Amino acid sequence: MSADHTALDPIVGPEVLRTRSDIVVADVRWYLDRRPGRAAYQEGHIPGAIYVDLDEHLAFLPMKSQGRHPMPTPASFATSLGSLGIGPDDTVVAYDDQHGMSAGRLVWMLRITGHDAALLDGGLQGWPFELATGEERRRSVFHPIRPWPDQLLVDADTAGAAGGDPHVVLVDARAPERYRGDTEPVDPKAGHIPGAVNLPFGGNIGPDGRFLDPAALRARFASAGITSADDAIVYCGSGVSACNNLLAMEQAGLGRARLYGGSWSQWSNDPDRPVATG
Amino acid sequence: MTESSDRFYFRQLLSGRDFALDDPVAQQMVNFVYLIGDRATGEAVAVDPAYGVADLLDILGQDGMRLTGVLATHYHPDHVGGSMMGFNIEGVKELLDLQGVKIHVQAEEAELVKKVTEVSDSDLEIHSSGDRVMVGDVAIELIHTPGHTPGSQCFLVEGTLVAGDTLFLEGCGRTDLPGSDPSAMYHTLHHTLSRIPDDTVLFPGHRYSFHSSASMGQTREMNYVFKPASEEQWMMMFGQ
Repeated sequence: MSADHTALDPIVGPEVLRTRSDIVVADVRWYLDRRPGRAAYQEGHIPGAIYVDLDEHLAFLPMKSQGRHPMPTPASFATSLGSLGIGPDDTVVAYDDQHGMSAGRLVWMLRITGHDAALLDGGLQGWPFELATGEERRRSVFHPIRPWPDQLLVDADTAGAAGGDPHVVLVDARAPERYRGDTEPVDPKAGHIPGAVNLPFGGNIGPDGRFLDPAALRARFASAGITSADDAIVYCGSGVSACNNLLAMEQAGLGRARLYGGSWSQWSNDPDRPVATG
Repeated sequence: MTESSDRFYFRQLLSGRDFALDDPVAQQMVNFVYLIGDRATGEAVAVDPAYGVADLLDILGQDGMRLTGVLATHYHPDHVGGSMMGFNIEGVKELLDLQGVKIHVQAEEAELVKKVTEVSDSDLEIHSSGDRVMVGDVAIELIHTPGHTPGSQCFLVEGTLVAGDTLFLEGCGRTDLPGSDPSAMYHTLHHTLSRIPDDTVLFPGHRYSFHSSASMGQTREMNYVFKPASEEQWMMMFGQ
């Protein structure tokens, strides 16, 4: 992180981009309906922002064995960051236009590997200034290969066991109708991992489009029995929107919870895994 | 090397994007050049330096590194320089004019590299499979992987496999070119490289896929070149 500044909170307002010129701004727009995020970026983005592609830079190809957005290898992530011009000492602020649904993944990946990084509160809609068009690139740089911290990433067996463990809260961050199994737009089975509670990531956002304040976030997680992130595992459809909850917990002062990255897209593709509904 | 992984210097550079920016051939060929080294000693080697070789030296200089050698995966001009399809591509010859270092090649490739690049015997350091090149405290293992060319080689270093045109994320190097050998490619992919662990990360010689790298486990699961169960099946798919 920059020597002249204190580390950023996980979620920051747009003011920080007006007061600091050293921050790398990353546009991470991505859409489940396959609309190209890069085209949206080119049509209008925060001036100076580079485009980071969730599918290319923050995940490997969908694999039934690993889910829809498998975590890239540490070497792949390091070389992607290098190609984007993000070095180990750069501070990054990322945004999208869906309450941090995709940008949260970049921020979480950066924070757990030692970067100073934050999600832009309010996203693109909350940016009150002019936008730039076209493509902006940074010169590529060296980025060291840093391993994923094993203690923050869990596999399907650990997530499944957490559902039956009274000392761990397993959180499903998807929309309520997908959690209940009323509908399933992308995965082979509808429902959730037995024992999981539903805290949709959209619930972290207030009516003004900004994140709830830390006290309100703490109350939200406490209502699900989470008073320390050490006792929580979060999943979603593919380990992307869950990062919104992970960052919200950290913003609330609860610490860093664990991610089940394979999430529902991996779980529901395994015929031996049980499914709960309702 | 047992110290912090931040000591390991590894860069993947795409031709026409990260260097040789205005070169349409470099943009068209989408070659990857790799810079590998030890940040504690400042030593680095370049794998397949071609197109803008001065750019590569500039990048090393900006990173506080100095070139101590060249590793050549194989002799094709988009990897080592020379004349190809009517274009003259910069490569090891021009690089050695700027900085005198050795080019590490497999024995079977030496004459071919000399022929296309016009470097001399004294520029080459000739290896056999299993040899190690030390760059500071970073050990690079050279693995002879014939098939695309007689003396193709891959480099195994710190959990990465820099594979040239032997193996891509999708597919493998062409085996219908002069000097190619589909049977040798089968043995390379299904025997020689079968010992590479699943968590080793494949870094190919071209960006022929959406992703620029993948684990060997992911590659084995998804790449069709690992589907044939026998050499006979392989030759039905890839033999001429």
